[in-house]
Amino acid sequence: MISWDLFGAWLCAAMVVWIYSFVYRDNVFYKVAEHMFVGTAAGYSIALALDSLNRVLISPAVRSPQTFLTTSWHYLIPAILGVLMFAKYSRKYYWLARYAVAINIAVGTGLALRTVPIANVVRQITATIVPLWGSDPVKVFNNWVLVLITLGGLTYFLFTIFPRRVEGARASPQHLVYRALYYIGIYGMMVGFGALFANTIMTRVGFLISIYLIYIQPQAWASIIAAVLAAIAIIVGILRKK
Amino acid sequence: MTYLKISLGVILAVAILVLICVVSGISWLLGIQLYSTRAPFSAFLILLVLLIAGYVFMTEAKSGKEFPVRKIPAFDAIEEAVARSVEMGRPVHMTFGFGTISSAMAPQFIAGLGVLSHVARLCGKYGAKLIATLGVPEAIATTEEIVREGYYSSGRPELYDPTYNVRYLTDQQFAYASAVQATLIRENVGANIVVGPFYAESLIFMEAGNMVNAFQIAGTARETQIPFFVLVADYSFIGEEIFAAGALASGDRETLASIRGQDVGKLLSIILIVLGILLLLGGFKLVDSLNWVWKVG
Repeated sequence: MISWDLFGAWLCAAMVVWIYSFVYRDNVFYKVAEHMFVGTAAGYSIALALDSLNRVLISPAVRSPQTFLTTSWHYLIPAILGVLMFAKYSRKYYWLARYAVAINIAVGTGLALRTVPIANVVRQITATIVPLWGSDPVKVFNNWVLVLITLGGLTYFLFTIFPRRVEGARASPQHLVYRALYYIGIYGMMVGFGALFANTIMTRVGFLISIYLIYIQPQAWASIIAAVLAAIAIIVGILRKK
Repeated sequence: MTYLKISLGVILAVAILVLICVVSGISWLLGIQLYSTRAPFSAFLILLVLLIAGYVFMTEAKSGKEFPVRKIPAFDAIEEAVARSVEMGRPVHMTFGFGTISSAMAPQFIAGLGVLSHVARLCGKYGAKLIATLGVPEAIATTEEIVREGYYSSGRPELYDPTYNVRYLTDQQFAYASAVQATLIRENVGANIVVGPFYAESLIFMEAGNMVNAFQIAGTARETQIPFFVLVADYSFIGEEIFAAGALASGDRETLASIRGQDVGKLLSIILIVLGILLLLGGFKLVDSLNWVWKVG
């Protein structure tokens, strides 16, 4: 008996394989999966947006307009901004859409401003004010690394304030300190990026294994075969490119 | 006159600061809880200093002062990428992310749009085909306008075709990712420029660009994704460099001056860290002062 659940599971499994097939080359199966994915995602977004609009604005406004106007009138502002977005289809009034976009961007920037000074400035500064001396050499070393790389990173990202070196002249002490911190910053960041990269790859491999485990359990040997097949596909892809 | 303009800007900035101090003092005396108890007061002061610094520098820029910006190799490489694509007869691809623009990622979207305007102008200058893919529905109109402006201002309006140049995909992450990677391969792009807020899809874009041997320039201020861009792209904008690139791309003197304001913030952070460590020698904990919360009573 084929149930909807079983059909869904098979469709999911097929989609996983079709999407993976892109590692080898673009093909009709990938195209089908891609278009289904994009279409479903677009449809899902529209359904969610309409549902939200209905729940928050249309239904309350139709059910009791008086209550809506006294308690939730502010929902009309985004509604008007949303309507303004459609002005882009008019040659005469397309500029009205800019206001909607501008307000959206301003709201986003405002949201960012709310948390950035705390999370990205104060918390980072307080975490970096650590003693550079003490009895524990490992802790002292760690603190030095933390402080130097933080100061180096900050120096690297100074775009308009930096000591300039005159061509042919000897470098000033300020310039030497700036260059030293600049290089500490860039190399420190690279080490950090390496660690982040390895960490993320570990997570991705975890996703890959979980996909195999979902569809090929309980036969563990099948997971190994699937992993080997994926590795072969990647190697073939690399050889083809060469 | 110039001197007067600068003075007015500074005077206004200082006046705002004094006004806030006076209002804070009065509310303290009257026992009014004026500020949040969940955030340290120093965060508010730092935000205020940054806003005032940005305002002062923008006023100075308006009156004609220029602030030289250090070279950003990835930004200079954009022209090379476009020119190379034209030589190879392949289109240029640019994307700046997915999601909603009214989020905390808005500054990164703006930086991406700034770079897009630069890329569009260059595409017009060299006669390159540009494909701008996006997953931000609110930015469709803006993107179309930027690309059209780029071609028109370069004197190549015939190259602008909104259905080809601007492609809205979807605002769902991996659907957007799968469509972008397919676009990169099927259109056989010569340059892949990716600047904005990116998540797990960053490596997918880079790998797809690599499959067609595209010249890749990428940048994001999301630190977890920077490693992928640094590793795979030919040139990368690291973190805050995307904001500087966005300002450079705009060519607007006032926007460039805002970078100076950001630099003041970084300089202030360096000073506070060094000062905090030095004060530790005398037994004074600057950390406690920075974490101080405005509480009345």
